[in-house]
Amino acid sequence: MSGLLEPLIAAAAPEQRIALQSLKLPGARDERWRYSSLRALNQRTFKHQPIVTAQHPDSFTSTTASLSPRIVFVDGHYDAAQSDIAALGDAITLNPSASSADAPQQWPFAIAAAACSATLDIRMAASTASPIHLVSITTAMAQDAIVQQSLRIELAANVEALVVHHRLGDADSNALANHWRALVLADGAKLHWLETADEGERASIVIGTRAVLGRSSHLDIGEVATGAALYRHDIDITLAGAHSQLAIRGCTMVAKRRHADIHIDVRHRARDTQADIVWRGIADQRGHSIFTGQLTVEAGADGADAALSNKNLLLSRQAEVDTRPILEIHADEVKAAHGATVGRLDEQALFYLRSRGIDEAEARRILQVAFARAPLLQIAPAELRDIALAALARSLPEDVT
Amino acid sequence: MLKIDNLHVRVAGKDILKGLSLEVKSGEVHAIMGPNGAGKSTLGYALAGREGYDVTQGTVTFNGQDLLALAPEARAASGVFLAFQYPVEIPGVNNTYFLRAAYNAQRKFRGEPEFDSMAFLKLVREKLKVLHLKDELLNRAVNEGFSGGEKKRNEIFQMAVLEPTLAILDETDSGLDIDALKLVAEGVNRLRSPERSFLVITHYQRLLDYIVPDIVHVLSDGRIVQSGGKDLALKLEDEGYAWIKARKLAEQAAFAS
Repeated sequence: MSGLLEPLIAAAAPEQRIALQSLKLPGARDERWRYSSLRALNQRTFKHQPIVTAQHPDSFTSTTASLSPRIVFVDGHYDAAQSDIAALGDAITLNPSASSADAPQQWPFAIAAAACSATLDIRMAASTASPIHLVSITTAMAQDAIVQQSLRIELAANVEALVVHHRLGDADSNALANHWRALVLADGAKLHWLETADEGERASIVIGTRAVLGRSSHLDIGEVATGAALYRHDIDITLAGAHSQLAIRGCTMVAKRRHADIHIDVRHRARDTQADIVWRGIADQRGHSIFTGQLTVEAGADGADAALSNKNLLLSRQAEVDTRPILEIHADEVKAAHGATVGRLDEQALFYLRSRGIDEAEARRILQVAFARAPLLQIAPAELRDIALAALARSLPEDVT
Repeated sequence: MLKIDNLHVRVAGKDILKGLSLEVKSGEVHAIMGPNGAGKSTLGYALAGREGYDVTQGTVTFNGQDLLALAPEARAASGVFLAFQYPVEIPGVNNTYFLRAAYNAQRKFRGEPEFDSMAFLKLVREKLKVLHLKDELLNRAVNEGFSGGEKKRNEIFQMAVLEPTLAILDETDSGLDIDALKLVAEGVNRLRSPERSFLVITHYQRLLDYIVPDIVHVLSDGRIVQSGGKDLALKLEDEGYAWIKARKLAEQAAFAS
């Protein structure tokens, strides 16, 4: 058993733990985890679950209070006292101790999260006009700890909802945050999801997001990924209902020694389904940006339209970018396109800006923001787009060189 | 205001400018003409400070300071503006945002207070009106999807906003039809003033019908081989650059014997 597994499943009920001990964490030879080594985590000694604290650390209070309606998690635990969903009325029901959502077999982290923390089950029965904020805080108390969160969100038929997930971490925390969430979209439902983060560079974060889309449903995922000591986000989407649609718009900005590994897996299972993924990555200093996007059109999923684009900027000699666009097609009537590029900052554009009086550091910053924001500008709900753009602006280190 | 003395510039290991000397006084318009490959664009880039244009010899003094010691942004802040032959498209960067960043960066450099977005927009709208440009230009990305004419007019518009004391126009006429050429020239003429000098780099005499120079220089093989009044441009138009080459060959023959 690897060193990480034991603390990862320590909080599970004793009767579950036996079965969990046979979980296999990704090893060095696991192709899916090729660029995200767990070696450092395996060598560490994590303490057991952090003490549940009703106290917010002050630094997060103002951020959290400004977000409403909100559902707050502190160190993985749902915090009813800090949450505020009064404005949503009957549109939403929360069940904080639901039986765990079924995690996919190939996701050991998700299985552990589901077994080790109570699943918060969120059901949306009516559309809401303004975004619902999910706030996950990892406190300084969680130093050397594993923080786990399990979430299930279901949208009833024809319900439309906007959700922003904010991950806030203590700047010095070296905790491992393990997030698992299952999204279920009934026929005709529309979910716009945005993932943003403000986490220190010593943190490790593993996220599993899995969605199953019903007939004519529509899922938008936006993300601004800024990386951490280890950052891995698996996004697994099944287009199960005919005419269901997926759009992903994201960017990765990594500098210093930050690492960010985005792994997207989309399966077209029904007829006339659509998936459109645009992701851009920037790696500076010693940052490492990894992107894998796999689109699979299953047999019988005729009329599928699958598109994937991943463009990257590599800004320093020590930075690294790995991109893998993969298309797998088992149906006949299919439209598919994919492309990936890795390039450098346009020297001509840089000189053009400088020749107008803009200093070099600022010119580089302008060009990086322009590059990274292109996918974010395509996030349709204006509220989510603005939050994404603000997150991008915050993610640029002052000392970009 | 600008004094270039014995300038030698090397690009990608090749000597392009080989001892160019030139003096421009305040308010003067100088035209630099010459055949392809003479080093016209190199002169513009070297003055603006482009990387890879290495000055191996000579000096450039601009308003009493050593221009070559300054970074490109510092040259801009001290009053040098290069209108590019091929303006660069910058997707994702809004034209107004870009211009305000440039304008304020220059003001900050000079220790002047920065403009807020309202004050800047007012200034920019006035300049647009003067140059007969549409408001719509402001909301587009820098040069992205612009026609050739629009790009050149956007260069002149930037010049109008930034108000340099030395404007270098690098083949601003290339790729323009006659109507676009007249508009660009009109924009330039409106900016002529006793405090502002121009270096107009062109291959053809045509532009100089509309922007009338005080002095015309002929650049050939990295050096100024002849200078004169605006009639020199007409002579070049009539006789072609072959005339310069023939004259140079004759000189070399005389030197050899």
